[in-house]
Amino acid sequence: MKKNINPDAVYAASDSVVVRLVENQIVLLSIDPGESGGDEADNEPYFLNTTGRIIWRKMDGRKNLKDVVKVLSAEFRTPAKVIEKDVAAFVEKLVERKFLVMVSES
Amino acid sequence: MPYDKVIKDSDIEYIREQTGWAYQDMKWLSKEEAVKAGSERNALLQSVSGRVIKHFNESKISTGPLSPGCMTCGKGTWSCIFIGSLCTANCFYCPQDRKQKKDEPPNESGLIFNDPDDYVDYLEKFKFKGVSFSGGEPFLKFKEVLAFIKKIRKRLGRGIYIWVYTNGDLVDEKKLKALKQAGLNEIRFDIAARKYSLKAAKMAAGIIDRVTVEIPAVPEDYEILKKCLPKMKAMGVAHLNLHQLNATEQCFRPFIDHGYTFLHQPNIAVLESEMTALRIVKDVLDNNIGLSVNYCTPVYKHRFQKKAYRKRFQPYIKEKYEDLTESEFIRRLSVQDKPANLKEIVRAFQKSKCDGGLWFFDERENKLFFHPSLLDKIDSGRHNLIVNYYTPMLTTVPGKEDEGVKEVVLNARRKFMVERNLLHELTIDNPAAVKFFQELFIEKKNERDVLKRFYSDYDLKTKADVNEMMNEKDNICYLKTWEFVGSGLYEIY
Repeated sequence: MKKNINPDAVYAASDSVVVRLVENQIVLLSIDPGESGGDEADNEPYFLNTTGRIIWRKMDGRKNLKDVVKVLSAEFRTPAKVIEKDVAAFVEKLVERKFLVMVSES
Repeated sequence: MPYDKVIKDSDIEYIREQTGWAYQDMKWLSKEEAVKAGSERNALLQSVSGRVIKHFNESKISTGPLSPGCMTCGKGTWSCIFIGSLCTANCFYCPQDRKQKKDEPPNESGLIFNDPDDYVDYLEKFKFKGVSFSGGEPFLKFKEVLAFIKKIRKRLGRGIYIWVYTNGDLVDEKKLKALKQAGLNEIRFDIAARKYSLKAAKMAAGIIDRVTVEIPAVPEDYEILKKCLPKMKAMGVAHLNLHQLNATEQCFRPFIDHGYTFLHQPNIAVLESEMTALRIVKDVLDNNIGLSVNYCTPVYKHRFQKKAYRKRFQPYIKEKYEDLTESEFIRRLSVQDKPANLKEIVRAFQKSKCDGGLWFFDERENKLFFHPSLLDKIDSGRHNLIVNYYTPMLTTVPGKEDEGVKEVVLNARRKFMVERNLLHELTIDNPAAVKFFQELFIEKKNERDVLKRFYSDYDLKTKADVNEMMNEKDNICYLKTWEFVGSGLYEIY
């Protein structure tokens, strides 16, 4: 896992995100204005790719990241190490964009 | 494109137009420099936080109470009459054309007042509580200033606060005593015009009730101004009003030559000047000088002085079916359709016994104008909503009544006209977007909640719809320019 992502923590969609399904793709929309001087893309709609969509659906606000990795590893018969890397990158990006927030540390 | 980017682009475009040929020669900030400058300003503001008073939506700060004159400005009841245009000085920062050798008559908001009685009628009609005399150098027309003050005091009594601006060149004891005798409350000295000489201010301190130093914050003069601060306090100067330098056409070249950095703000402010003003505020506090420093920003003037102007003159042109925004722009809502369809809406209004003044059917234009309170009765699935913003504008040129020009009678001798200027028009064609507009600006609901509903309710079938939705959101959020006054200092970019 990436240093700033806690594998024991539980993450969930923040209350500043609206999730819509468009052409079978999940799009995340932020209702928080971007910070001044920040990246202008911060307020743009964020379309999840296939991997992202699969991970997003497992982020139910109850399972911690280790459990999410475990479930995905079993479901897709893929080594946990591989899944873990994707999950960490995904969570890091979405936390940065404030689409995901940590709801409990363990 | 995020709406703050839309606003920035619009400001940049506006300033490019304003500055014309000079834009290329002017120093502007890169994105990185703007972030750095913003951090430096935040650090300065943080260093005085809790020790300054914030005024008027946090658009300006001070280290103590504002002058009663400044309070009338903030409350929108200040009139500044330019008594003449000639000056004894030739300051590089002067917003006026100093090459102009022909004097101008006394004027305010483009209206000429040769007769003090006409001016007092004007003050009375619009319920002004503060009057200042500016120029040029008002002491070049000392007799006129005196005559105006005497007339104001005679007719309006003590209920009006009067001050005069000067560079001090022509000030002497005799004139100061005459002004005091006539009822002047305050005198404000631009000491930056004369190498920060406090001689005239000192002389005035023993005669006029309130003496203020009012100057632009000139970056290269920081040290000399800093040295003046305790002297000002000691001689009885009550206020130091510091302005952020802002560039008019006359100042583009001198400011470029001074190496200043320009900011994309409506008044084209100078970055280094704001930093200088904030450093002076900090110095006064850190050294317990006890001087009341008022940092009067261009954004404050843009928000509050212009709002006051609109508030004063909009009643003459606003129709009953129109409404006012928080910042006193006139907002007009309408739908355009075949007459038969519009008549159907009219019948619905009539059936609900709506006040007949709250809507107007223009058969020539096939437009139905209506008050925002009737917006719920419009089917946004069938009709696009057209939103227009107008500002009042004074004119002395007669216009046609049907073009929205209204006559204002000042007295038996004088009248002037108020006309409406269209500032912006937006057509909103999606029902969720109409609802977004209504909840954000008419019902003034919490923006996050409103945006959440908009994103949730917008009919999204394709990815192109997502882009369309974002455009609609940006277009509606851009209306904040006319809807809200705004708060805090202007973003640096």
